[in-house]
Amino acid sequence: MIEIKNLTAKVDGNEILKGINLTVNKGEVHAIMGPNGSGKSTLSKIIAGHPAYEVTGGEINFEINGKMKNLLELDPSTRAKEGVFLGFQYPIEVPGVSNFTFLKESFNEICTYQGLDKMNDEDFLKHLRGKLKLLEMNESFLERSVNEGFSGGEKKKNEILQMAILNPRLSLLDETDSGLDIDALKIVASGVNALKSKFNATILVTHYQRLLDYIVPDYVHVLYKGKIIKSGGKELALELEEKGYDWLISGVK
Amino acid sequence: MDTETLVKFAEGQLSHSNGELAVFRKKYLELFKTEGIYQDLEGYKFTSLKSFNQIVAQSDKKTEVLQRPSEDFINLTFINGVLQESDKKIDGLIITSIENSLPLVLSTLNTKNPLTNLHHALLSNGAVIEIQKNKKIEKPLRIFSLSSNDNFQGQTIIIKAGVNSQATIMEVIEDGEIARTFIQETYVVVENGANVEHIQVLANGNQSVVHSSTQVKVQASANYTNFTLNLSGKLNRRNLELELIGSGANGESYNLYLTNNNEHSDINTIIHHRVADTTSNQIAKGILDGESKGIFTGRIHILPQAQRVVSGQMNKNLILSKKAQAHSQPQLEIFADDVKCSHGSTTGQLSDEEVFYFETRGIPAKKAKTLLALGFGLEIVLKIHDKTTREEIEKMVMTTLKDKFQLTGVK
Repeated sequence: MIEIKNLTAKVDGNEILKGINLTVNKGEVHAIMGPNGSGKSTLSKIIAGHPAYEVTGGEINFEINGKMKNLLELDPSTRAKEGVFLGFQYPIEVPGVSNFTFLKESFNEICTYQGLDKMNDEDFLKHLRGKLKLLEMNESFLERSVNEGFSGGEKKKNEILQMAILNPRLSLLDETDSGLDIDALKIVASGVNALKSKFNATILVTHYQRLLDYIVPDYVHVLYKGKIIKSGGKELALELEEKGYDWLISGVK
Repeated sequence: MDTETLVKFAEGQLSHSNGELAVFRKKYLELFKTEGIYQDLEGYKFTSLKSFNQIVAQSDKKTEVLQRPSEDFINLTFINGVLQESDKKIDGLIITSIENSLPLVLSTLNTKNPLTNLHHALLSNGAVIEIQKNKKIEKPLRIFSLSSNDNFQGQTIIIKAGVNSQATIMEVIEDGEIARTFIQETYVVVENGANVEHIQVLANGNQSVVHSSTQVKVQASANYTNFTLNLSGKLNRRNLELELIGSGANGESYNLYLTNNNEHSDINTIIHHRVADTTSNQIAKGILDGESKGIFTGRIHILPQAQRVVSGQMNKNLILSKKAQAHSQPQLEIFADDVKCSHGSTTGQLSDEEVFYFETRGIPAKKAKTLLALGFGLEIVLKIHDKTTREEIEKMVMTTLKDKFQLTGVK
């Protein structure tokens, strides 16, 4: 579904990614782990198209209509419409724009892009209710301004709600577990699991193993100083939990 | 235009009143003759008082005035200063003319601003609104001040909310494409335990100038929320003086100014915490485009005896062009030591992070910016509790935002 080859990137003149290679297929869940500052969040933001990051080399190809296409040529909103979703570590607060308006605008953009009719408010509300239930969210969330005054857990649930509405093919979840208590973590994880299918893929960015107890990855990669220094199965995450990162990074310059 | 012409104009208007009112007006006309519009260089740093010194020729030009009585509101409409038929008596609400409540009016008009002498010399138009104690007025009251021809007008609104009463009052000053100089004073007393939501909207064409001053006294355990909304107009100067005079009084001030081309909006507020255990909150937001100017001055004044005060203030400006100017002047004067105060001011463009967030949800950058600018302005409107009023104001603000800043693409 997505192939990343020798990707290098800069932000504010600093080289953050120094040659990333990663292939993710349909139906797979990959976890990207690593200590703070290793470039994990940068990678997910670049895939989504954040303007502050400059890709200096390599490529990202994404499957669109059965063919691999250069994702870097598409603007962020087109990437989203093609099925790339970024769940933010720190979801942005948008005072004055209601969650309902935000979700509806977003959903209708995607409908239009796919040549489908827009949904009217009433039908869209019905569609939303099912998704709200999945995340144990109250309908009053829809009237509130996007993320404004939300608790950490509510913000993350709101991210997964958006994901449920957009129904992406590739979900990048950036530190989705940060700021969550255990109950909220379970709800968020079960939401993500419910949305998984053999047609879509998930990349989880996290530096704790905790989330991976609830969303079990097929592959785990360790990112350090802008490179993937180790890849393995889910047992790698457990090993990291037990031993920390030092045994892996001591030899890396 | 000079003071002499204005004096002649005010003298001409005098014949419309008699008795005690005429005596009062003459007294202030004499004061105006000697003092003119007196200068306040500090308070009027960005807005020249000469702007209000102009008599607009009473031209034949007329525009049609659209009266919009609505079942959802209690309606009160002034056209060219003359009260049109107002709604029949509402339980708990007494509305009288200035002349018929003269003792109350004259004892209330005790403040002074640079245009007071002129305002008082012209005193005749307006209304006294009394909400009786323990009464909750279910429907919001909407006061329209409309104009059909070029003119120079004064208007006075006095609101007295009795003990434990509750009401939402909306004042709308609006003209089409006429040129009007409008001088307004509004006085509000919110008695113990009362709850008043007060929305003051200005939506003029591009020729009129407005000077409005609102003075509010909030007694113990009472709540008062003011919305000062400058949606359009060539030059709008709004003063708000909000005094918290009883323990447990809460005062809030929400301001929105939308300016484009050469429009000028100047909002000047003072919140006095006169006693202990009072709270206030203030947010002012501006969206500025073209070569327009938006000024916000917010003074928070906490007296030594006013301990345990909680007060917050925020001013945010969204600038859409290189030539638009925002002036933000927070002024904190705190003389008590046990208080919690916060304030902040930002001026800038829409943030890239916000736009990116929308883009990752499939919303293109241009539309994202529109939604964000609408949201920026609507944050103020969403603070209005009364649903009917909020929806009405939301419509007005949305229309202004779309027409004024060419923000399109949203419902």
